[in-house]
Amino acid sequence: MKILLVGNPNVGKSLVFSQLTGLNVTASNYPGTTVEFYRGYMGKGEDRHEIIDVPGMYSMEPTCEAEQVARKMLNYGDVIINVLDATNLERNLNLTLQLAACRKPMVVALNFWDEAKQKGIGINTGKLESILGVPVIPVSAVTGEGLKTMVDRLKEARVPPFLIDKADERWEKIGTVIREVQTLRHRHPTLLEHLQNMSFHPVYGFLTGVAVLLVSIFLIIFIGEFLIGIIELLLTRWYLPLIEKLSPLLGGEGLFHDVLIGKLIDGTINLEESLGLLTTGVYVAFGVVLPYISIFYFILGFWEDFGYLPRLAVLMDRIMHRIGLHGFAVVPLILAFGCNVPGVLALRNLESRREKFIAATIMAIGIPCMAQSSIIIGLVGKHGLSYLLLVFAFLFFIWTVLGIFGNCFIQGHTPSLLMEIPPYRLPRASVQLKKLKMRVTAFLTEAIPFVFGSILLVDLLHALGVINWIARLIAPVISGLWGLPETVTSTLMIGFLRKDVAVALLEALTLTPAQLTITALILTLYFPCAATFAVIMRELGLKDTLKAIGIMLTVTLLSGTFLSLTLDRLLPPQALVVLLVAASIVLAVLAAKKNDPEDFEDFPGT
Amino acid sequence: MGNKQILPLSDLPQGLSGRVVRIDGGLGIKQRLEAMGVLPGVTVTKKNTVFGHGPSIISVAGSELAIGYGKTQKIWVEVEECEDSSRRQP
Repeated sequence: MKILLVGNPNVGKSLVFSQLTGLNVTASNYPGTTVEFYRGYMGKGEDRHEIIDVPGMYSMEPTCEAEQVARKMLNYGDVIINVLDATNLERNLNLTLQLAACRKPMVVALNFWDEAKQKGIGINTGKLESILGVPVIPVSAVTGEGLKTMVDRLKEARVPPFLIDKADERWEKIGTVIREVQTLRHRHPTLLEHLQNMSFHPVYGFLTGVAVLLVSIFLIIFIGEFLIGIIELLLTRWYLPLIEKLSPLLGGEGLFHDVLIGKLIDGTINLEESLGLLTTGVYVAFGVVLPYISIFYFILGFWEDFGYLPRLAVLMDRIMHRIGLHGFAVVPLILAFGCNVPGVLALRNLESRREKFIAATIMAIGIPCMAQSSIIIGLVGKHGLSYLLLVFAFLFFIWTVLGIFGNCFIQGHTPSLLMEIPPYRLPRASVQLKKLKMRVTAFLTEAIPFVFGSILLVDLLHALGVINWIARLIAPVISGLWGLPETVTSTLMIGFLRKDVAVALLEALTLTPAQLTITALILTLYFPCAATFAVIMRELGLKDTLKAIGIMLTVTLLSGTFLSLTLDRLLPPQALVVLLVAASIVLAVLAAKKNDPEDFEDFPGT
Repeated sequence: MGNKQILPLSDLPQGLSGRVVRIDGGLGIKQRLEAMGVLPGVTVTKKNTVFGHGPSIISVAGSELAIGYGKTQKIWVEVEECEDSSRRQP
């Protein structure tokens, strides 16, 4: 039997899903889409049933890709478990009444039952059951209460005995149902509800936003670095000796050795700098990206389940619209500061191809990952705060320009926001860990092969001399346009694999502060690292990736040339910082005037 | 209060409620709003606005929604009398 879990977003559906299913859960994309859904099994032997967690939907008339997919998936199930949020029965019943049109046996689960009781909401389940004509079971997915009854009563599932076509008649019916089955008792607001009301306050709201971001970033760096330390230790202890044994077996040199192991650094293999598939490749994937991704997903998951992320998106919506993005795009962009790979993966949650493209371009070009930032801070910072500020002011300027240009020139429109704001809820640790595990597994199986593939490609190109050839080709640009010594070229090439290592290698070269600043900036702008490139290819497709690369090369060329002409020749770094920030603000204000609220709301699929 | 005012949701003062009388625009916007419980005849309450033409936070059908400025301009509401007059703003 195939069981479908269907319900509005934010009703705790995935919680019900993870409580019902065991370890054997797989995430997959619906064919031809980026919409992800989960599939698992419950029970044993004869009673073993497949459960599918259908993407959340508000209505049977799809208004976005996820709802379109959800609508299609309804055809494949045998039984529907319609999960409702008991604290929000009215809005949730809208879908329940529409689901009747599927003509499939159904049961209704009233989730967050305990929370509804606390909030003074009483629902007469017996009455609701007789009105809807299907079993209605109060459950609490967090504690697992009621879930067993729900599973037992699956055999009583019925096709609802009514059909209402018109929207206004449906809402009228909902009104009558609510009056009959629901009672509200007044009570004092809780602490969480007070916090909730504060989250949009012009002053406290923004302070909260800043505090949440700072705390998250701090935790991510702190725990991320800690995890990296541990993994590094494990790798050198257990993995490096293996590679050291393998190296002579492969002959110690030659094409094969170079691709798999890489070059010896001072006569020994260095996991971070040898740049082979089995050395640096493994190190990047498991020593850098994996730890950051794990802690990122953990913190993200927490704020998501707590209910803060939607509020942050609402707060940022106005600003993000100026660069053609939704408030929600703030999440992938923040992720990208840790590591671009999870940032790009998170783009899936954005609605349109246009938004994905704008956000991916901004990320790939203008957002250095944590590892790279920290080395830039260390290295450029030595020459004074003003040079360091210049690097970030320049990036800020690039974000604004890219966003505004993207917004003006890429076809389409970013419609204004419409989303539900769930109440604040305290997340459970066990649920968080399970979710984290699912996400990390998905990352390991989906992204890691791409990461290795692209590292292999770069290694091959390197070993075959293609990269040296490119280096010779671009040498005139580097020395002529950017005024940098040619020794920088090889560093830029290493940047294909590890941007942070590339920046670190600059220390060995003798560069003036201006040259160092320009090189650090160019290293950030010119190309995403192999891992990021691989996931961008995957998420955007070849055509859009090539477009993004075109923009990237243009931006790099112009930026390098502009800085080499002005920095320390015409203007000191301080003046440039002020100039760039002022220019960004002026541009943003002008852009806001140009395209203010016009709305094209129609979803292409309808 | 005899003369009932009709204005776009974007102009409804914070803390006040209004009954939706009309939604401008195509089928897309109407369907999306209907799915969330915003349709003619329904009463909505404006809880908050993010300043500078940011989204409005409204409560409707027992849930809270954030609606962008562009959309709130297209939702016309008839202001309802407020039980708690101290919350009314000039």
